[in-house]
Amino acid sequence: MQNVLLKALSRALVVLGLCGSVAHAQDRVKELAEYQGADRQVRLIEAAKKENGITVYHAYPALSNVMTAFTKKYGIKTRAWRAGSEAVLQRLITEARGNRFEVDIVQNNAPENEAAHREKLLQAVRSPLFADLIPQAVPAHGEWTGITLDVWIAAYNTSRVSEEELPKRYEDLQDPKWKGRLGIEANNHGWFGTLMAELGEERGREIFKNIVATNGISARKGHSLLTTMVASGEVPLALTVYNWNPEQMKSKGAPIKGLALKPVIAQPSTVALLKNAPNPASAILFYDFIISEEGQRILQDFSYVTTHKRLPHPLRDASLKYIDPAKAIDMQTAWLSNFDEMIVKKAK
Amino acid sequence: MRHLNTQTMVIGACLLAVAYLALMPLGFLFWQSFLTPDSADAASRFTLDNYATAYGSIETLHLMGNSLLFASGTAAFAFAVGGALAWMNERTNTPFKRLFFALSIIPLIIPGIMFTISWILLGSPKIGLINMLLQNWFSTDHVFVNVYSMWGMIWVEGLHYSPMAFLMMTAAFRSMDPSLEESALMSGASVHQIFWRVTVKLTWPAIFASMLILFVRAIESFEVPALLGIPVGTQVLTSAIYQAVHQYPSQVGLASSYGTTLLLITTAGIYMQSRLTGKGSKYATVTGKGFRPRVVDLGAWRYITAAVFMLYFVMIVLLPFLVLLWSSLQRYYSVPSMDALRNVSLDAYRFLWDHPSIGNSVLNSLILAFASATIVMLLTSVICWIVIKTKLPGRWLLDNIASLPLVFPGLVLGLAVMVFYLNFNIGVYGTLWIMLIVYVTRFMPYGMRYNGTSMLQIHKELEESAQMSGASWGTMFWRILLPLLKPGLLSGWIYVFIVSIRELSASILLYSPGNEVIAIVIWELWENGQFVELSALGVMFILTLLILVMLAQYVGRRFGVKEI
Repeated sequence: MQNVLLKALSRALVVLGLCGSVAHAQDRVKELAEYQGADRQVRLIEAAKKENGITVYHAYPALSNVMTAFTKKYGIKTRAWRAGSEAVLQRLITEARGNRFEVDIVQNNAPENEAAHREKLLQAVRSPLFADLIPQAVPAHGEWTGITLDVWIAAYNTSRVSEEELPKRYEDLQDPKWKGRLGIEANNHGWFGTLMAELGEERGREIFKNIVATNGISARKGHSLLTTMVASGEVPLALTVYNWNPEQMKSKGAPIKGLALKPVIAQPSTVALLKNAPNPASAILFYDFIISEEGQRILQDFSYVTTHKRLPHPLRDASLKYIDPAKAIDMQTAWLSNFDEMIVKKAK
Repeated sequence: MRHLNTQTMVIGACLLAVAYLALMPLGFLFWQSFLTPDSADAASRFTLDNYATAYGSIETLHLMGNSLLFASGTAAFAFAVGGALAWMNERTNTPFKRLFFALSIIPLIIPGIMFTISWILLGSPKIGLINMLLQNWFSTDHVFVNVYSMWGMIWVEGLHYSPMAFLMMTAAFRSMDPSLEESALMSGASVHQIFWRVTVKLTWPAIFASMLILFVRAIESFEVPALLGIPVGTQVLTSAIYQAVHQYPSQVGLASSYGTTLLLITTAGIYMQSRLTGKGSKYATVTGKGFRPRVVDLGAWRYITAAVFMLYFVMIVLLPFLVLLWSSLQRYYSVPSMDALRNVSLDAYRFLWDHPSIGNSVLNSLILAFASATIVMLLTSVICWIVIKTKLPGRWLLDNIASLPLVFPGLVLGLAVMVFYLNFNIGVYGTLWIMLIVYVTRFMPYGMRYNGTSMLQIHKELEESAQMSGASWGTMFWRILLPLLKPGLLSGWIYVFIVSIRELSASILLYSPGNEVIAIVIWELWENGQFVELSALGVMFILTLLILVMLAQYVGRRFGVKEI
């Protein structure tokens, strides 16, 4: 019995100690992240010297190149863990609940990082570089920052669809000539929900109901698969690929081209600092680097639409519509079932 | 007294290990299924809503119907293919059969995504090579095969998993005393009669075990339904599980409550199997009487079976392999033509050669696969001994506990292990060890079926005579049982080794920077749309496996390891 009590006591002490050190570490992260003095950069570089590189959880492949450039510039090592957007969020939440704090920076889609914000896992950063970014990249709470825009566009196989028959608007897809030629990504409920709101709920539903009834839309799992299927001719016209998908394929010589049907919809991909980051100074340096013109240019070279004002992109024009990440979470169930009922279950 | 101690210790340790590995995620699954999603705003609380949502709708019935149809079709087809090949390979004098052993297990090594996509490229109504070829020959636009259908799904999944049945039935046929078949032959039975009345009846437990495990695995499978079913609006139960987990807050509870149906189905199957194996030594063919493996002389029929092998080889191995090879030599996939021939390049292979983390990932995967296959097979050999050779009350429950991890959705299993080791910090989190734990848990059920099938064929009299001659339990187990188990042990080892290399759904949550495995590299290539590079990797996988298996066979013959 005595043993048990002793064990319980020592356990409690450990837990208390852990809480104390966690709180202390959080203060340091917050202090560094919110500091706006003129010597910000110098302080960060100085503090980073005592840290041990950074750990980044990310969903984007091209982030590796930014990390390489960052290491080259600052001599700070990076450790990367990559998974799908949902798995990244899942791991963040589960590790935080298990009191394991190893990650410094997370890069993920805006709704997933908005979820991490709701889980109180993130720390707002006050970076002088925010002024260079488009307003949609910096939310009021400041806990994540948009680094690029995932823009959904259509893509078509140039040997199976001629320039003349290309649709100008979504309405044109109701033409029976598209029978058996359309494809869509099976998880794009956020895009669909936003599109319906933009087209006008009733009109939008009417159009897509007609398209599905007359021509059928085949649903494919994953944007990469869908793009591969367009390039191979299996899906002559796909409605939702990311703008860089056809670019990459085209550069290898595939018969594929992107096509922007208005309204074009985008969702920011974001970077965030963890509240319990073990290496906050190095992490903030990385944060700044990825939204700086230098870091943004690397992403642009990989055909991404960046959020930097000085790096314009034809898709980032005034008519571009943005998914609201908070709304995407609140509307998730409704959008999901709507998209499933109207498109995925009727796929053929 | 000492031998009793070894026995108690080994059995005790194995029981504890199985209980620990299997009950922990099982508990997590049950516990979660009664909870609402946990988030910072709303802590999780007790609820029955998950079950209400999961089973309160016609929709679920519909999904379940699709799942059952898909799984039974797949099990029957995979068994028919794998079983027939195993019979021809082990029990007949079909020419060139040595070569066919290696070829028969090749589909297993091809990553699921690649295997399915090769079949899209072969069997799609629009760009499928088979359709294009036939349409060209007969100058028609009739669609001959359509891979986007329930039959297409069954075909692809069944072919992909036929090696599982092949390996299991190979083990069963190897331990079968041919004198029984010979006596039947002497008594004037035809090959046909011998097959149905002797061979099939004696291997019935193995048949049941193969079908059961194929069925449950197919119900749990995700890739084929996602790639071939979703495009035409055919969804299965795993689609619902996937969707539940991939939300915020993650509906792990809902996914778990879907999972409980799979648990019940498996439990029913294991119970039925235990009834079958409870019938004593009826199926024991390995007795004190020595036997030499002798095969059935098929006469002229052996050319037919060789032709069947060739057909299988062309359809299942060569066609997808050629599609992968073709695609790996391109810069992007395009239908083979003279034009495309001009674009042939080795860029994909160069890319893999220069890839920074492939070497390390391959090494990690090999270590994990070797360790998990060895641990699983040794651990389950003891458990199977308890289940089959003792009269311990409730032993079928033990079998069941060891078999249930089969049906945990991979991601839920990964999450369970993750949560557990974050809170019970013994230093395995973030290392290869945690992945080893998951792999052993996940593939233990396969070990159970492979070992169980072979264990059943070993007659109790062998154990008894060992004991009569004064051997301790440990000596008996090590010197008598394990060598006799070799067919099942080896088949199971090969199977677990290969599927460990492919495991993704739990690995993706649990790997850490520096601990990448090859399945993660495959996933990354796929996510990045590097289909061509992925094909090149697939081609290299196949060639490596082929060389390894042939080498193993060669060494085996060269150094006189007797094949039973």
